[in-house]
Amino acid sequence: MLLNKKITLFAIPFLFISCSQKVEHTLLLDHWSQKEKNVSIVERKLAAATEAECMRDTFTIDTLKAEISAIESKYKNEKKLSGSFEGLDYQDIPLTQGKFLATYGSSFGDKNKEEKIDYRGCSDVPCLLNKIYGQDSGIEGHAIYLWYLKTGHILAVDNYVYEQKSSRGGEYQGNKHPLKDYLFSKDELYGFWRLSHMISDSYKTLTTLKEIQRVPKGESFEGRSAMTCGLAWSSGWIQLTDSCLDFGYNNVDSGFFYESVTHEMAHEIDFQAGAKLGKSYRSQEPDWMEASGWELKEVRNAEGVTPQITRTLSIKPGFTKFVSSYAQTSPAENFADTLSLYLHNGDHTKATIPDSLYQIVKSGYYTQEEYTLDANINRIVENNYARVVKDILDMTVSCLEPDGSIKSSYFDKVKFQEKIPPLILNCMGAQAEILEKTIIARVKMTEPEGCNISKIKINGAKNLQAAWKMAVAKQIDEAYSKMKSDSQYLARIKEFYEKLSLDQDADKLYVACFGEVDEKLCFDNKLAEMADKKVSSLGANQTQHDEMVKLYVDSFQFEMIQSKVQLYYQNFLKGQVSVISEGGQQIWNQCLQVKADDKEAPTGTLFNIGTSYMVSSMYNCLNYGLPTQVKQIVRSLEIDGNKIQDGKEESILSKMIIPIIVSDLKAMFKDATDEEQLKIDEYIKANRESLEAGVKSNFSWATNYVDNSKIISDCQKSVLKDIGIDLYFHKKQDSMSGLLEGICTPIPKSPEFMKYLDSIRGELEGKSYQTVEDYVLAFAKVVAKDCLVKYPADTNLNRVKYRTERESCVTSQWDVIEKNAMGKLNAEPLVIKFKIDTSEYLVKLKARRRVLQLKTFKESFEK
Amino acid sequence: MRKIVLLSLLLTITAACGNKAKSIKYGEMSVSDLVASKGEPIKEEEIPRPDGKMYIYENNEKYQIENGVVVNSFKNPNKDEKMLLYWKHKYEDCHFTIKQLDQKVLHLKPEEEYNCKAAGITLIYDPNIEQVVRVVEYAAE
Repeated sequence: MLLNKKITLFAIPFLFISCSQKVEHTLLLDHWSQKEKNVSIVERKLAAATEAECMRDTFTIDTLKAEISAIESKYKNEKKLSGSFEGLDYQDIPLTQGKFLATYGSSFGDKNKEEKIDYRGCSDVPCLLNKIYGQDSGIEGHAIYLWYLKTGHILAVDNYVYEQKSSRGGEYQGNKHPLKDYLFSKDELYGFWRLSHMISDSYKTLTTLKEIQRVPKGESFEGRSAMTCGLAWSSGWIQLTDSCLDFGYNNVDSGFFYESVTHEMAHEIDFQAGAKLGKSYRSQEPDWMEASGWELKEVRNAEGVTPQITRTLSIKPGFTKFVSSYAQTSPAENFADTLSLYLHNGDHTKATIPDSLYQIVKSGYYTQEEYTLDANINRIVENNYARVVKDILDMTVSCLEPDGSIKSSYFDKVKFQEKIPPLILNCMGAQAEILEKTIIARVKMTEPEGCNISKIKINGAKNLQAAWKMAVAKQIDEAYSKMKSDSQYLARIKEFYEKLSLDQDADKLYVACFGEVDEKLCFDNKLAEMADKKVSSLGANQTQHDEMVKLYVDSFQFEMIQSKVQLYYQNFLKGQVSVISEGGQQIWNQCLQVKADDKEAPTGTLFNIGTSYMVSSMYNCLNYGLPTQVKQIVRSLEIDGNKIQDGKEESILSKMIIPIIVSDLKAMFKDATDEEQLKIDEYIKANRESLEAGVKSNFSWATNYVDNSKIISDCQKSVLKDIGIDLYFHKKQDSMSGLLEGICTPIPKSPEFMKYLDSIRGELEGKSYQTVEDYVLAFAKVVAKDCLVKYPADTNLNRVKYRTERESCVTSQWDVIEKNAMGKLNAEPLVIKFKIDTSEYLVKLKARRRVLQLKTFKESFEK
Repeated sequence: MRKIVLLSLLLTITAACGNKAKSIKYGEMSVSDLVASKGEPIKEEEIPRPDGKMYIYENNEKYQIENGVVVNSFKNPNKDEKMLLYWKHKYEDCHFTIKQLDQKVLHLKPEEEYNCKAAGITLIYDPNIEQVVRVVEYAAE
């Protein structure tokens, strides 16, 4: 356990700063880390804490304001946005507030804009949000804004539920609802705030999640079972009904709320993690499927059955290790429930799911932290221990010459290794008792599980208070032991803790290892090397050296550092919105200058447009140019005048910026598509008559005069050539289909075309003969296909062996083929209309028989 | 005599050439030819089709076999093949018919199949991630 190792090493002198590993150049990370560290730690009040005071009691406007201020301060030197909302200029508010309003302002309140909201008098975002709640001030506005700062998405404040049936806001399940029915209550906002202190960084970096919405109070989901309490959409919405927002009886620190919200957010992790791999869902990746007991079966069904393909996910026979019954419904639900219950019911999860799956969750989504009762207790103790080491050590020193009047039974049942005189123990016990009360009070108020865990009393087994007592006792034991031989011991220990908490060198190692084949292995190796160098200069003996190196390595686990560094970079990029947007606009404009041309195949997957259309010249320009544009953007980023100098750091930021720019490009694409549609509509209106006149003025475009569908097709090709408009986001043929149909469908029966046919009657007769030959070849192909089944040509041997039979099979049916072709031709309307004499055609066909047969054999038997 | 020798030589060459790896002709290729071409599968599964089996190879490449004949394959798309635009461009003249598959997860959009029978291709498209996730090939009509 990390805690025990720390205690062991208190006895060992340790100096860090002088042994820090030198790096060749400063990373942007170093500059940004300073801003993250400069954030003042928000300490919730401890004074006058009572036994009953829990985290719930610190959910105040002041607490939230302090947290907001701490986050906003990181961006105070960044360029603010331009624009305004309801008279509030973005230049007058922090960057993050401007970004919030720019992103979500248009969706505030009543979608129908009938329920007016008076935003007057507001000078910040929390005020604006409170106005939506119908109040001038309140905790609600701060809670919603703070959630956005921590997670990047909004707790919805409007009355329109994604994908609802009605197009109007405030209508759901056929019922009308006031705006307030859609807003999260104060208790629910407390739940979100508390949850924000519990969830790992995996939940705070969901860049594709836009909103968490509330289905109006009293309603269940439209078109779904009333049992469904929450939905997560990969398009970026989470929706929750009353039953997902349920707290425990009289206790907002427990209840289904926490499991269900975490479950839905875990679905978003599933989508995003899968997308990062360039694939489908994370929950359908082979390692997850294997560990969690799922398999995918797919089959193509018989002809005529639709859909043609069936893809079914099913549980492997005999597999039963699911975290819940709901987890057995699909790999996606398994993923979401496993991640949620890992956090909220750690003991049950650890005991239930396979260890391989447990390890995937632990390292992939929780940075190696566990949430069993034991782990929670240890983590709480560790989190708080470092704060009071000095107090414990001061206590130890102050009791070396105790006042004999103090009595305490605090350490009565504790077995110390050192022989500590009773008077000293009494002295230390009295002080330790006060320290414990202070710490437990702090834990109850600052740790999400603090109040729940501090209530647990397990006879004979570890609970929070017992674990705390053991930690303090061990520290006293070690300190007492070493003080006997080393008078400088205390100074060294204090310095050890200060240096360890300031050490940022592991962050740099993560950057150095980014992009390596095995990043974790690279990091672990470099970390061990660095720890060894740092410790070697202290001249400790081998045992102490090894223990110190292990302590250092254990303090900086890869997943934890990875998560921290990724979050730092993400936070940094939040302040670079304008630079990134400008970069996106630049490449878009550049590619729009390339002439529209669809000849080359579209290539590239960075910018993906799903089922939409884009001319390949522009698509390829964007995909080709994006990496270079991103590189330019990254190289222009700076913190207080310091730009990027490190290639790996450039790679990390590039990878993070790409999805941001792609999202911007998609928004531009949507707008441009709508704009182009208007352009198309205008063009059609203005040019329809002239295009129709053009196609009717000269019928030389017609290559067939008897087959109406071919006449129409030729006409459409001709009109398409005449259409003088370059389209980037619509296929001409598809977007003009109405126009083409309107012009060309009547052509075969039009007087102009009839007149033309009259004038070329002679040529017509020639072409109609060509048509009957086409029909002969078409019928012959069908016959040849059947003959091929009877007399295969799948191998060279068979090709030679059955050649005669194959050809005879076809030729023996040739009379029928010719008869059918003639029948089809004679039924053609134009042949009938113009009374084309086809009596000679059969003679011509017979003369051309061998040529047509050889053509059939070549095309059907020799490919 | 000379003719017999020449004929024998011709047959030998033909037989030798016939044993080379062939491209897959769906609806015609036999199981033994598939194995000769791609080796033994990693796994074999029964499927609810007439004398139906699925031969599974590396990278989740699968071959559906009915009555001893390879009727279609399932493959993962490579790079550009993940983009629907790529396929629409490649089979420009094909009118893809679109059908939804059975919904696997309640609150996700179901996968869709894009069929181009003239080319013998069905694409499985996932609208949740906007990518082609499987390419199914069969005999063109």
